[in-house]
Amino acid sequence: MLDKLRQRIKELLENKTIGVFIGYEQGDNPELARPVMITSAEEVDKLIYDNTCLSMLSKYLLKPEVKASGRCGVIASYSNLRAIIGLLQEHQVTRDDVYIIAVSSGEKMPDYYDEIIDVGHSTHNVGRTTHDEMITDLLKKPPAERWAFWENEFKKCIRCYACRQICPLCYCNRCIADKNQPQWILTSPHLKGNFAWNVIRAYHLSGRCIDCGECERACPVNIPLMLLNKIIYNNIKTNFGYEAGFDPSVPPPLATYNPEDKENFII
Amino acid sequence: MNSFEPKIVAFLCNWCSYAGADLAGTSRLKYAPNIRIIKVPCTGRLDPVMLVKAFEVGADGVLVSGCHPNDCHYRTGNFLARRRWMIFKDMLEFVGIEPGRVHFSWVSAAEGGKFVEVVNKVTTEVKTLGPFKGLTS
Ligand code: SF4
Ligand code: SF4
Ligand code: FES
Repeated sequence: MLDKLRQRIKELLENKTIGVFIGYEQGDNPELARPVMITSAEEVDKLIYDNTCLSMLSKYLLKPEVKASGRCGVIASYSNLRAIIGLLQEHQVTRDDVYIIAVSSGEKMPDYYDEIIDVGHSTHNVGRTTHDEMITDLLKKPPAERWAFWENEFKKCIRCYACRQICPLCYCNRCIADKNQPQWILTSPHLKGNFAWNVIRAYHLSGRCIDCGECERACPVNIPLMLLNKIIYNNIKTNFGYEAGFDPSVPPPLATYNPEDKENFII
Repeated sequence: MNSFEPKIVAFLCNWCSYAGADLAGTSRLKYAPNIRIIKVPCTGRLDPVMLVKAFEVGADGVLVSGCHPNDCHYRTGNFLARRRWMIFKDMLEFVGIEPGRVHFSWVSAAEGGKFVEVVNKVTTEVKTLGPFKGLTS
């Protein structure tokens, strides 16, 4: 599979279909491959693809230097592909900017790629099935216990913003967390600002989060951020029948409405 | 005997609910004095971070009120807001803020009476829950 991949990237670079390719190479960490950009056919031997290739690559597509290098080829795992679809939908990249080589590991891939390679082994969906169970368990508890649980989690936050930096759909040039006129989100690592930050981060990804799990993986203090993302994700799926990262042509659920939307909670 | 008097921040849209509150006043209707009204141009202007801020600075409950569906001065503000509210209130509930602290309503400029009912209902619910101590530490 790897030979085939390298050969194909070589061809694409040589025949100038793409100007740059973003994939993975072996880095210092044996458990986590390093993203790499290659611009010449000689470099293709660097490329690897195995289950250490976890990092999301879609964010590099937004870099001005990448955009300036011509059409960009990219390896897209299931989550990566959904992230790219999100970026297409939000007009951050155009279809002509990217050349998508999807790598399927069994999931049904959304139909937005230029080529597809089946690797047969799973990457990038590490243990995310437990979230729904945890949500159900938490919801059975009284509010005070839930608050105690989250207070304990939010208190740990050191406001490193790794969750934001890694998120493929967090791309604002100025994040609300960095604005100070007015300062909606207090910046010191204290329960108040941490509470605001964690719920607003999740909220800003409503209908946009593609369930990749990267924020939670990146969080150095292991806050179960996916629980917050999933409570919103499931809500949108149930009430608006929508999941992000499958179809760039439909309006995002919070940018539209249906006059008949549920309103039994409104007095 | 419950002597606790909650602080409730009420975000009212300029064109309907604020006028409804005004009507309640000019009609000399009496309602619970626990709300602090903040006028917003439209419910669509209300960023949920403002609800978080209200709790952060000491509110025990919040109320958001605007024009009935199809009556929004900007046509779609309340329709868009309705989706955000649903998502946001469910998340607040999930992290442990009791649903009785977070309320939404439609009150038109002609509904001074409804405004009174809403405020009284919200106040009673928040009173029953007691002070919000989650962010005081
Ligand atoms: S799972 Fe986390 S990192 Fe991935 S899209 Fe959702 S919020 Fe962003
Ligand atoms: S990655 Fe974790 S610790 Fe860092 S800002 Fe996000 S939630 Fe807080
Ligand atoms: S103007 Fe009242 S809700 Fe939009």
